[in-house]
Amino acid sequence: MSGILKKIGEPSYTLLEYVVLITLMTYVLTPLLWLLETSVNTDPVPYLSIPKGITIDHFIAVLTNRPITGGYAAHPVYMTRWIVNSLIISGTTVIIVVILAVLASYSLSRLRFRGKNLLMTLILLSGFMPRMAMILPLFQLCRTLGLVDNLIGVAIVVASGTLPTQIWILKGFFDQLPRDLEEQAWICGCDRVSAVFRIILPNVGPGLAVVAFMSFLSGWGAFTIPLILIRREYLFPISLGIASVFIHNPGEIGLVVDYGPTCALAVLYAIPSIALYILLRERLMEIRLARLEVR
Amino acid sequence: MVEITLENLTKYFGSVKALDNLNLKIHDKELMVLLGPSGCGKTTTLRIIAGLEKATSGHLYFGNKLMDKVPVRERNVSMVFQSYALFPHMKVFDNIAFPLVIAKYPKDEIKKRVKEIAEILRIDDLLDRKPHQLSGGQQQRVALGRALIRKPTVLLLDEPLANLDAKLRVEMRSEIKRLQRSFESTAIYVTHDQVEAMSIADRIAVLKDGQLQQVGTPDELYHHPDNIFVAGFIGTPSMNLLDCSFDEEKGVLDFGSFTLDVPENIKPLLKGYSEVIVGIRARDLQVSKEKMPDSIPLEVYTIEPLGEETIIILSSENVRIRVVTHVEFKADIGEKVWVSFDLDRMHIFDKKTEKAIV
Repeated sequence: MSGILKKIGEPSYTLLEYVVLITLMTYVLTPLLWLLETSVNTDPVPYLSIPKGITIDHFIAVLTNRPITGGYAAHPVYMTRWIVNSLIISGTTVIIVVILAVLASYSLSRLRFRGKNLLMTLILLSGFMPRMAMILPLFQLCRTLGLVDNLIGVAIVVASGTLPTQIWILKGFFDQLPRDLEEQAWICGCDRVSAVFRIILPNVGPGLAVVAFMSFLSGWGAFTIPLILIRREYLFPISLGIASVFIHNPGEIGLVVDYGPTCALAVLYAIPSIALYILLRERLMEIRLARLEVR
Repeated sequence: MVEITLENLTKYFGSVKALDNLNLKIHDKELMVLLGPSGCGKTTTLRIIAGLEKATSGHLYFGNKLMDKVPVRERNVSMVFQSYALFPHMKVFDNIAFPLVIAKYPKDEIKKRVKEIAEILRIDDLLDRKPHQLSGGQQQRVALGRALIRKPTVLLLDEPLANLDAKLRVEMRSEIKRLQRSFESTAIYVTHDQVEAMSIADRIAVLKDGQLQQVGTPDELYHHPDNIFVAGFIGTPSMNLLDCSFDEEKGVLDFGSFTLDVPENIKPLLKGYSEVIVGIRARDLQVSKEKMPDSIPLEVYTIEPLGEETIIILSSENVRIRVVTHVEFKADIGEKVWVSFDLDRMHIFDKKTEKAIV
């Protein structure tokens, strides 16, 4: 606070700085405020307004599996179900990515084998490739494997998209960890696997956190993959659900949107990202320190 | 608690030869130092003994047991890395206890032994700390504790003192020697510091470019170096090595600007050699302002007073000689002084093979 006061006292570019900052903040925060306002408004309308009254009823409706009819919709929707779907997709993505990324990046970091550089290049390339470019084979593959209209199927495809990047990130953490530690563990009597679990993984905690964080977000934010792979409305993740409400009420083209619950759902949709960030913030900060900490 | 035999060990890293047909026997309960400049293969040797590296060819025996294919964890070796490699996420207690935990010792036993060893190493008040809360010397002790706790057959130490300050280094090296004695482990200690090697070793193996130069007690290495490398590497200040030629007819060593008579008993040994290198330690030379019998005149080049004693570097046209003298000897740069050689303590090497002749 004293920093700001001091700044104001200085006859510098302070005013200009604030103008720029306020403009930027307006730009970034207006939609968010709009969303928040609508989600608590007793009489939600599709434009920014002064709420007549404040209610948390929309949130309760979304969270208690109350059917949301949206006026003239053909049939009610259950938004709670969408939240659960999103959680299933994200959670499964995290599990798949963390396990596979640990195995792959450890091998790439520590083992010597033929064709390793080629493999690493391929992994990197496949990470750059947009998933949508491969959507036809992916879709056919999923259909053959019975993974259409299957949340785990979505998670598998989403995980495959984010995995290459996560492998590279985690490999960086493994590379940073001195080999001495692992060798010392072997000398103390560990085999390779127990050395990884007892010594390596506890010391790449921040790396694991980053990978878990990013893969959660890729599952949570996934839109195109579920759009292709999920047909049934009760299997929609939140992203698809919100979009479907605004495009047309599920089941039937309609013009009436239930703004209150939908905006409440959108607010809830934003929470995990923020919450995870706050939870992991310290770990994320540690990354920069990780290099210093060993030895 | 075992004799270690290295038999024709050769190690390539790609096309680089790190070890060249190394043969070495390390006696039971001995503290053997592997000494050499960096890149000489000493750490590679240590890592092969630990099992962290596989030799390209050759064999390793603990006693009569062939160890080539025995995995690291079954060798019952302990190692202290230069970096100490303490596990950052574990408390000191857990670090020291780690080998016993892996070996599934009962909890009470572990507690007892950690306490014992922590007392010996005087770190019993640090057991609840994390490694990064310790000073370098304390970390070193923890690493030693972890190495010693399961009473290893072989104790390997890879430059364990390199990261400590000079004072602590001197303190710890005598401590390591004492511990090694009381634990009766066969120990192999890698260092590039010859003073450290001399002070701690039962025997020293000097390595250069992957080749064994000489094995012997510190005394043997100091007084009877096998070749020019060992002669120049061991001892502070390092030995004066002077190019000269042997004149068989006159029986003198010709240094260009001066000559030295060769003692009668050495003459027959030098028969057939012409180009030789004379090695003489700075402490085996006497310097004086007056002419002494058999002395040669040289000019003072620089003077380095070290407190107790002074190192004087003398020069004539093509030679430069280091002499250690008492601190009371004063001379000016450029002054002419007289130096006499203690010929009985002179080493003579063949210039071609670099091997010792005398």
